[in-house]
Amino acid sequence: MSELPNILLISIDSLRADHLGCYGFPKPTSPFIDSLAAQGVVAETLLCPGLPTYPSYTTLYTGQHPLTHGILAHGSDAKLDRSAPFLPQVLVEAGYTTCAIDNLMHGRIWFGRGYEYYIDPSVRLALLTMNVTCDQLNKRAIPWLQEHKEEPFFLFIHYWDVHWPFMPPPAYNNLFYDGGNPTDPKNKSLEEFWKHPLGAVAKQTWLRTPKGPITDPDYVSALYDRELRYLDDGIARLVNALDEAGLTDNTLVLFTADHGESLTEHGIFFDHHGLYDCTLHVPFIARWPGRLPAGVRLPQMVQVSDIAPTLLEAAGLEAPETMEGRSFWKALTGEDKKAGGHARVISAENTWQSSWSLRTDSHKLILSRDGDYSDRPARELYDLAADPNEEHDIAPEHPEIAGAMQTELESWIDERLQELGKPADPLTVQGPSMRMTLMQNPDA
Amino acid sequence: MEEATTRELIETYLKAFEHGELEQCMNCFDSDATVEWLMGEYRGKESIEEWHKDRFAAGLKILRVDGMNIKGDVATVRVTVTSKRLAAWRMPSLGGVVTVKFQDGKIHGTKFAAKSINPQQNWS
Repeated sequence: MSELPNILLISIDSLRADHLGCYGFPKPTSPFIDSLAAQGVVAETLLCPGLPTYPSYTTLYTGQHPLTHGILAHGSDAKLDRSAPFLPQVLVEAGYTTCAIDNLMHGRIWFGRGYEYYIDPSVRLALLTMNVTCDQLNKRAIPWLQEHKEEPFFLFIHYWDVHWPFMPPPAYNNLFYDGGNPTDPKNKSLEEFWKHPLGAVAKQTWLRTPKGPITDPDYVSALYDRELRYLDDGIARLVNALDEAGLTDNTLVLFTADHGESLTEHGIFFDHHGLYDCTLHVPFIARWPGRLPAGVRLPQMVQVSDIAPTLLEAAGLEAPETMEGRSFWKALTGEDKKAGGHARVISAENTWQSSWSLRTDSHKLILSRDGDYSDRPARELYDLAADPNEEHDIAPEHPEIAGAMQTELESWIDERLQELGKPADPLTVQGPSMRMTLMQNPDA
Repeated sequence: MEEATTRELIETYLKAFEHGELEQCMNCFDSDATVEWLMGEYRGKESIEEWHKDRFAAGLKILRVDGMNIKGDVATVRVTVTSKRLAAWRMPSLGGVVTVKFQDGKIHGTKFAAKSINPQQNWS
């Protein structure tokens, strides 16, 4: 058996932590993922420093904050610098056989760096590559895993099922909804959504039924949960195949996500926009029987940029100095329970607006560089202990807290820009790509 | 149904669609007809009329008919379409196959299936 452990990195696009049973969700969306959590360690608060997908996955791979790697939007021309560290590149150079079951490389070429195998069944699909299903990915991943079980491997698999459009297989149709008539024309709860470019398309495609458009947002949320349950069954098949191949004891299984999803919270419908915890807080589960304890939960704040250094330490490899994240491997093993935690996490988004946030244990400040399509204030402050759902903006009542956090955030941005030699904030330079493309286009 | 009749009916519909003639289009459908459009389904004349209005509002145009195959009462048409909405989503055109099933001289079912493309390539 090789000294290098195998690594199976499972990442779910658009999975918010709080819709999993192991993070307290009351509906049975994730029995297998919950069992995985019970066999390993759960990080209770893993946060994304960048939204949406490309910034977040670039952070996952480089171990860098988006301000450092410079990818802060989907639609910009920014490219990842060739000198940036990249997790699969480090692993392949260390002797791993590397494989991605993914499609990100077709959008941005750097997502293929360091991969000997890049398998993308979504090229067969019409129109939307994010319609690729966990069954289609597993059909490629499981034989690959069995074929390469004698090698130290790094297998990355990127599931899209809980990304919109939420179209679960018919076998899941009866789950998680008892609201009556999902197409009741008297229900006007989605009227705002229909005015949004994503909503306008949804109404005429995936939310269109023979009885008319879906009108109940609870039903759409149920579709998300059905997709999650379908995915949970698929992940069970993947991990069971790993176990049946006799790889359990020499494989670190990591489970995470790039960002969450707002399911109507904050006036944001079925989208990963807004620096609120429904979108920033993602799951993290690590299972490695014999090396990691079972049933342990880490309370400290960690962030997506910490994953690559943590994984490298698990493999006994040194993280490149240019990776900024902090390994929390010793917290996972129990050697140092405080390893890797952050007192604050700074996040950026460039979707329908450009904004920054600063999150501490107790508060979150959100600063918008320009407004989005709603009347969101330019500065928001939330008391996370008293108001974990971030429903009551206390910035007007507590200008002293908001002001102090704003100063801290602006100072951090200024200092980092100086250190990086960047003349201007790339968040603002690249701009809110979704809004620039669609929201300002009346034809969208 | 004679294949020549099927061809005549599909050509009538395509011509009406091309000119944005809603009433002419609707005259081609029977009362229980369905339209499967990408991931959504429209059933019944009222619903199908709404679909046509949405398409005309979005400026959907048939750029070209790439081929047509008639078998009995089923017409399969390969088309390339464009629209203001597709353009806004950075898709200048979209190829696909429209399968139209006729019954008693009217359209009973229509399905549009897009051809394989990778929209993410349009971002770079």
